[in-house]
Amino acid sequence: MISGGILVGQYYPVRSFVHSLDPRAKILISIIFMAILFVGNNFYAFAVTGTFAVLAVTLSRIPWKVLIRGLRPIVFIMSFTILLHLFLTPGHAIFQIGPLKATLPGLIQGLFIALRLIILIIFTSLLTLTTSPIELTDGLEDILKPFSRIGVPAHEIAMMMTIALRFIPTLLEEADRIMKAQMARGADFESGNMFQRAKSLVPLLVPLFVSAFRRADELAMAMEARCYRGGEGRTRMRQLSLSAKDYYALGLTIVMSALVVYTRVRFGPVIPRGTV
Amino acid sequence: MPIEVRNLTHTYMKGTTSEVTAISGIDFRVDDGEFIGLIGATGSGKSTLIQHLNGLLRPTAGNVIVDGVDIWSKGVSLKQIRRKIGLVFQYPEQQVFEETVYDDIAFGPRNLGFSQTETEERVKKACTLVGLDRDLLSRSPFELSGGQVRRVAIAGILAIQPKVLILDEPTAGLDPKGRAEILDNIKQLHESGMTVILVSHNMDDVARLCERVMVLDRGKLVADGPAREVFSQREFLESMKLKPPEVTVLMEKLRKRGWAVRNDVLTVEEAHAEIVKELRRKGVAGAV
Amino acid sequence: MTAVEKARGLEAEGVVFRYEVDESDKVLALAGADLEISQGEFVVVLGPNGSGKSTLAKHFNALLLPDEGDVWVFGMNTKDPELTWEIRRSAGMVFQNPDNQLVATVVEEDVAFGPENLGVEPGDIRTLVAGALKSVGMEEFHRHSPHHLSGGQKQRVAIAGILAMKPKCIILDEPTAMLDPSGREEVMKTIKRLNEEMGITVIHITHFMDEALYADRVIVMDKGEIVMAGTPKEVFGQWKRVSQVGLEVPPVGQLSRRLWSSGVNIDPGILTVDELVDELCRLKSGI
Repeated sequence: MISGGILVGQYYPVRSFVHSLDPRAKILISIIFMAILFVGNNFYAFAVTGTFAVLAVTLSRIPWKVLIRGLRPIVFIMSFTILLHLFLTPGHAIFQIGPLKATLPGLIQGLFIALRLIILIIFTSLLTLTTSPIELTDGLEDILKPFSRIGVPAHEIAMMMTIALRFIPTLLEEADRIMKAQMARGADFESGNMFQRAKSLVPLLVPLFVSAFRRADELAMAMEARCYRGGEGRTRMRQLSLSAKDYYALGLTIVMSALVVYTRVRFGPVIPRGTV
Repeated sequence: MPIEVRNLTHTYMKGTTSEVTAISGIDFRVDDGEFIGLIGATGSGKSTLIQHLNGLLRPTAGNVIVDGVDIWSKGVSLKQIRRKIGLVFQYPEQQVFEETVYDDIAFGPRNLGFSQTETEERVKKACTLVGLDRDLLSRSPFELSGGQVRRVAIAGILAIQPKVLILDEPTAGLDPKGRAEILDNIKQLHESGMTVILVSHNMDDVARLCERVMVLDRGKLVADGPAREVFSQREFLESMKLKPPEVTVLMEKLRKRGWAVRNDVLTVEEAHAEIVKELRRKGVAGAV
Repeated sequence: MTAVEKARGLEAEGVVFRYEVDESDKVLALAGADLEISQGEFVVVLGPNGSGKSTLAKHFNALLLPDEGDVWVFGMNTKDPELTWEIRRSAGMVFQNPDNQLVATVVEEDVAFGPENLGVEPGDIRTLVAGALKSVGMEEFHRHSPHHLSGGQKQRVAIAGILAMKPKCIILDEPTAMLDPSGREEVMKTIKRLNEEMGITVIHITHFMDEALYADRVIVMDKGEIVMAGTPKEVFGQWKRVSQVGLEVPPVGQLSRRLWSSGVNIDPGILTVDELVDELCRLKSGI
């Protein structure tokens, strides 16, 4: 049951505007959004991207609770980043702990980056929460298809993603079971120094790999028995089609992007150059 | 070394939206030398329950008391508990990882800090207990047949020399011969004084081997008593998707058709004796 | 039997197959297996571990090709590479581990996998998938994730995945080995129904002796050969040979034989509870 807190690949099945969008549109929007998040270099840009993200979450009918829970794993990284910026950015000191000097630009910079990370995580988890893994891979395969002429294995990538998603929960459960089985034999996964701990993982990792290879073998055979022979000549039950709302959503994304570009040109970076 | 379970409850992912209570309010006591069958449909909480007995899971509520000591009270070493209570998981062959059979069986004793000579003795003894050829000790466990690796894995627990042995479906996936061999080993372990708890879906096996049967249904202990008593309650068992042994069902059907035979028959031998007795009583020709 | 010639089913003729352990070491898995299965039959294959059951089954799906001898599936020789896909479509295969044969993260997508590989039109796939899920009684689970299904349900989805390819035969390689009794019953009842209602040929490999009772014909394999064949009664009637190859007679069968050998005048081949109850009651009332 260690799969509890992991949000990636966890589809949240409700009916909503965002859920009903074509996966290709959603993937495109996510890519544009991520890029534009890094184009924005001041708090005005965050007002725009933040509003856009809040709008998307509202339209997706996914409870904020679920999204905030998804942020938990990055709390450490985020606090670390803030602290690093707070103390390492030169500038006017607001307070001091020993030799460490906290600066105002550092604080602003730290908050800025943390905010960017939060919006990024929320928006990308929104993609996986509102798009079933199947739709996601279908969309990806379709987006990549034009590139298969230049050697991008679009079908294979999609197939690998599908299989990975299918087996993540199975393997997590298995890891949990093997770990307990070794603990029943007196194995200790929790104490000791780094080296001892790494070594104690051998009894977990070897069986897990052996099992994963066996599964791969059996799955390959089962797929072959079901006439699988690659992407060639293969049809799909699910057909993707763009509808009016996909165009609305894409249009809105472009408007949002234009606004962010405008804030960048008009207001410049959050900490004007030369002030530090 | 008695085990006492008091008001045991376990809730997975407590405090989240996907909270599931797997077992609740379970009370029982296991005494030295007992042979207990634990039965119940898939999802009834059997695995959760047994993982509490050697401290792999921490109860959400209630206590597990081994030898009079609550295993979750301060200062109790879970390693020591696991040394006394061995747990063989389902498909235990999936846990082998060492390069040789010897090393894999020695994993437990080494973890518990036994000396090299002591470990070697334990490995050899465990091999004998599961009927594993000593020539195999230097081989890689990954070269062995399914039934053999299963025995290597069981030997891995026996090398710890526990007082109580818990086995979760030890015969799953084996052919009849492999099954009979493993069950025979378990029977001998019990006869040599070990307390055994057998989790199984095979009612014939449980009926033949176990003296006491515990039934779990949706996380509750709904029956706990002598095998004969538990298995003679066919409708009760069937309501939980469990089936008594076929010969038990047969006797019950005969009783419904007016036969004066016992309904708590568990084995082919007993059924045979009962039927012959009844036929004789009725003076049916042919029944010698 | 009339003289009408039956359509060809599945045939194995003197099949020899060796597994390669390494360059120099080969293990003989099939030592000249001969078997003929007619269309619409329900065949159960028994045998100890390593007797070659699985190897033979894989030959009928062209997953393995014989070193010697021939395998025909509905008149198609498995050695003909042109026919491989048609063979796999018409004789589908279900495997032991339910987790390791479901490809997709949604039930209906998984069932669609076969028809998609065959290049069926999207609209037709929907119909095939819906039909297949209905045949195994899993239609209400079509949007579920396989991960959250019980073992028996997963195997029924796997069977539906084969049915969606409109096969004439289903080969099941120990599909019940990892299931609990109620899961086993689910699977057995499902395949029995498919056999009776849709006329699908079934080859079911198992270690559970009681599952042999579903069969029209039981085949016993040992050391790469077919050593016994016949109705369940005929096969388990030869209890000495059955135990020689490491198998066992189901409990009721053991009881019937014991009663018979202690002089009770019943058919020693009886294998089911109800039949034995009837027979004993008949005997007791002296009819």
